[in-house]
Amino acid sequence: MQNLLIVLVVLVLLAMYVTWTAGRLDRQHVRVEAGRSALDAALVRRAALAEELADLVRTSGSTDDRALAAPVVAAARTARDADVEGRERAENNLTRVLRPLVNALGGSLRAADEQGSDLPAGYAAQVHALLGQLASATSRIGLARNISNGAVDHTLALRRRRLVRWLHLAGRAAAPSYFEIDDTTLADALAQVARREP
Amino acid sequence: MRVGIVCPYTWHVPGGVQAHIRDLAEELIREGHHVSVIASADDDEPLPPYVEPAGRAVPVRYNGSVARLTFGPISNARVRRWLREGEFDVLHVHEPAAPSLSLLACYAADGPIVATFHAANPRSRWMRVGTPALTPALEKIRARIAVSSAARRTLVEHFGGDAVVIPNGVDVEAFRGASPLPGREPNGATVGFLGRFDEPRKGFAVLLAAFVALAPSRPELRLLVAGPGDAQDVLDDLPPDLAARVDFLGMVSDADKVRFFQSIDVYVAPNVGQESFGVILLEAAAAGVPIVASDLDAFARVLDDGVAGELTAVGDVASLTAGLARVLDDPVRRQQLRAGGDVVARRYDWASVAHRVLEVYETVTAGAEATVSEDDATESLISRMMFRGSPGAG
Repeated sequence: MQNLLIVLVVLVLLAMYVTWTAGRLDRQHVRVEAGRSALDAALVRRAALAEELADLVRTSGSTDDRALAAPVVAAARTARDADVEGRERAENNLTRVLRPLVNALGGSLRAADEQGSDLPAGYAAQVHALLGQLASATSRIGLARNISNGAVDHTLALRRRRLVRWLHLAGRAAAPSYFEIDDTTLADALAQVARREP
Repeated sequence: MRVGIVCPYTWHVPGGVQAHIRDLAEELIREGHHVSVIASADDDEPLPPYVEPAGRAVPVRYNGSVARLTFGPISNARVRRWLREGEFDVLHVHEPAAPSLSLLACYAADGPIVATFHAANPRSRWMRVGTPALTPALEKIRARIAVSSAARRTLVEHFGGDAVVIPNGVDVEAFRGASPLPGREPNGATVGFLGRFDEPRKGFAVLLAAFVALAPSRPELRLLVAGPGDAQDVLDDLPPDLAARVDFLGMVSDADKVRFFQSIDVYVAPNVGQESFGVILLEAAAAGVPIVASDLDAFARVLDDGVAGELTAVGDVASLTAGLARVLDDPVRRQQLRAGGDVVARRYDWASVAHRVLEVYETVTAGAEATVSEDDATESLISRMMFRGSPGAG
């Protein structure tokens, strides 16, 4: 009788522990979703701003800048339409073509400031504003990536637990994966342009 | 945005974390956000309108000094009620890795939680033994902020994952244009120290030795010390003629701290270890006081590798003596340090820091399904089993 009682108590405690762990795991999956969608929003915003900037440069910029803007428009569209597997590559590609454009625009703006230019009125102010927005969108990506990968970390750690694996507590939820892209080099380039502004 | 902030330490005891939370809360309120801070404090204490008391704190040894912490059924009940009634969009806990109100809040809450880690202590026994118990609470945190790279390293080594580094801010304007403490005009050779001078890691002994070495050849040299500790102990060990040139102010209020910096000509931070950031350096820089500081990682970084402060070898009396003499004797060097300090202080101005913290809030709430709520699972497991019928609950 006593043994039965002990077994029962152990079973109840075990059941509570399993339920609680399943709850923890569920929350981690929710957190991964939230982190990923915040990251998505930040990436979409960067792509939209990049395209807007490139379009502006293509119609009103200097000849050299126009040449650099064309691949940005294409890369921004590809990044926005990319599926899960192709996303990191597409975003890295966007960073790669954006960087030279940002650097060149920094130079053109400074030159226009110092010696005047024949670019349309208001163009410099528009470019300047877009570069500022792009800088804040890019720093947001770094933040969202950091947060999203932190959620992935915790989730994978929990899923690796024996109890979770044996009882299939993760259910059909797919194991989350890290999202690594190079956004920092673009952030650095944008910060450098911003520093040169008066 | 509705923001709930948890302060793990007693509100009225001066400290870096408390000051950080106060400045952040006030900056966010200035920008039009709704902020409520829950902190351990007695009910009859005068508190700012945005602070909610969570009960009395008990002293606990942590990280080489005594921290006063709040942890128990009454605090638990108050945190839960505060969470229910606050309807926060984001919950911001500070220093949740110590057994504290912040940890309680992590257990009790569900939803977008942001945590700021302040400590940089490579060997904390509590963190080592406590990690398994902490994981369920800490894994609820959606975004982690570290106040320095050293604090970030500590966090990463203990718990894995990553953190965004957002350094402390300083209210530059508050430190500008104050008048000296009554009767304490700086005489051109007054050296200042602020902090618990009887705590070895603050390095006051190193400064005192440097003072003893410099004093005979510089009759004007004075030492002005603010902060708690037993002054008589220090004075007894000094020759009488030198003891007369050392003044102890005891613990100073925030208002007097601002004036303290106007009463000195050089600020010295002789700390010998375990400093994660050094808000005090930013305050001295904001006040326009030239700084001499130990060459700790954190200090060197804040002081732009020596541009905004004379760096001397950690715990090295000869090095501090030489560095202090250089700054005292060279008006040009002092002016350079002041200018460097001005740049640094503005960089860390609270407005810019609060903006970066808000970015973190916005990122965790952007993809979030709901606001902060009570965690039903821990309600049933912990509260119902351990805290049922506790006095003062509800």
